[in-house]
Amino acid sequence: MVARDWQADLTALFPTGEVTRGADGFFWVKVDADHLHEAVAGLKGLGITNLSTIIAEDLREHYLLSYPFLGTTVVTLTVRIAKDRPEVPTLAGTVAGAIVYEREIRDVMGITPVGHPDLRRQVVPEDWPEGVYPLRKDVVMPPASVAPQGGDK
Amino acid sequence: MAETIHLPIGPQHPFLKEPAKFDFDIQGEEIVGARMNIGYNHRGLEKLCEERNYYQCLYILERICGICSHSHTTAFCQATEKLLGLELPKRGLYLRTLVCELERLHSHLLWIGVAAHEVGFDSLFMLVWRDRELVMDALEAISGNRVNYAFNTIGGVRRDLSDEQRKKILALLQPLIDRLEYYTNIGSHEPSFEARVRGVGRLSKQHAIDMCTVGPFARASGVDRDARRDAPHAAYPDLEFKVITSEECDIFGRVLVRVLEMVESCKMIKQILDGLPEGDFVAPKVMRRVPAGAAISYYEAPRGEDIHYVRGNGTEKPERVKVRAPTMANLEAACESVVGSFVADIPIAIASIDPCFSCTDRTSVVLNDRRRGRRVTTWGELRTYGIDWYRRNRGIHF
Repeated sequence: MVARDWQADLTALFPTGEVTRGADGFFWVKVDADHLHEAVAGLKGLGITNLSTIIAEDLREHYLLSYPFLGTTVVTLTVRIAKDRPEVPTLAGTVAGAIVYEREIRDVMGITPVGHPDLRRQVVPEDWPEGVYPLRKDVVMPPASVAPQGGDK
Repeated sequence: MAETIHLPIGPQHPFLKEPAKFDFDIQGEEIVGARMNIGYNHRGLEKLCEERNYYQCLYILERICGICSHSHTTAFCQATEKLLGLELPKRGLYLRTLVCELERLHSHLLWIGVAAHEVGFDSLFMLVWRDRELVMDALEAISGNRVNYAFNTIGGVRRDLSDEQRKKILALLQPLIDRLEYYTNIGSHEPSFEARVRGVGRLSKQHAIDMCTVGPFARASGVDRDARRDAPHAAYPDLEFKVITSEECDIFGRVLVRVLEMVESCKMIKQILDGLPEGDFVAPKVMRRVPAGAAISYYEAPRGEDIHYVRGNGTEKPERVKVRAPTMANLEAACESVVGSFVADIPIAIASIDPCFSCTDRTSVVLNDRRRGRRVTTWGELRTYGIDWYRRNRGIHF
């Protein structure tokens, strides 16, 4: 199998976006939240369709979402999300597999996927307090409402 | 038309080995709708990792899952090693891959047993689990433990393999391959087993691609994808193996894919042991401070791609660790694949993805904390403590 020149293909696909090769040997592309759908459609054209997960990070000045796609290589789309508007357009319409991951980023980082069809809670319990997002760096955890039980004294 | 009845199952239910909630809509015996909810095991592991150094993280992540503990540490080590720019010694990579493949064997054998049990074929379940002990013995010989091997470390592995151990594992492979052939025969020719799994839990290829499913679950629907080949890692680029796929798109296909994958694993183990390079098994110098940057690491775990994302910030602690266990990718699709089947098919259909909710939800542990006087108790001490406690509190003398 001849190795494909992914760098050239990706640069052609994202002429304005920055395509970099990370320490992991995979490709990273910065995109705007508004152009996320076009970027995903473009990757689909290259045969890279499998969304692996969505990684939400709090980088203090802003949030960062990373969308790694696995085809015969790994291409990660990164989207900066402003702290004062934690929203991102949903991918649920184009990539059905995104539904679970978008629920997760809403739960842990409080970034709302706009237009998501099913925003039930996923990873945090049903009685988890509203507006507390555990993976934000500035999170203040509410005191536990139930005392730990068990163990002999 | 029959009335639609809502059937909730879980979070605690005998057919679930771990907590998850399923809501089925049924009409008579037929399932017409399915939804799932997880999160009953979530104990904030990713947050824990942010407050610990990389080596401490390694031991937390090892305990995400009891079955594929080596998968998680491999994925995490790979991501960290990439950030450090470490070049691993070949022998370390080979030994890491050896445990990876042994783990795949033991996980798939465990699954075949569970699947056989779910369809009521308990003699197969017991036979398979007996053979699984061979693999467990090999793992114990290598690492000193049956699960949670603590075999990986950043920069390689923690133990070397002696020539005696190497021969022991080699001797075990042929009997195992013979047994696998026997199970392939049973799987494809035993009419009662076939009747129970053929056409059940159907997931079309297109649907498998759309839902971004992974691992044997996806490969059984004809999706030709394997991170061992597509995102090369560990010693896999040096090994010859086939990516097993099946066009059956049902549970029958998932059984076949897993059995044939085990045969491939045996072949890979033989290649590793025959061509084990000499030299170090761990990189001589590993920096404790990890430079700023982010790395994603793919690892083909027994259940599918296990993905770890690590962001370093130039200190000894990671800025962010993200784990995507394969079950997360498969659950939604498995839930939908049940639609159209009968109520009695629910256990085997859900079990057919080999679900692991601990992985999906992530767990937390109490570490050995010298400062507060907590310490790890040995098995002998625990036993003495138990005997003593019952003598003092219950008046029972063992």
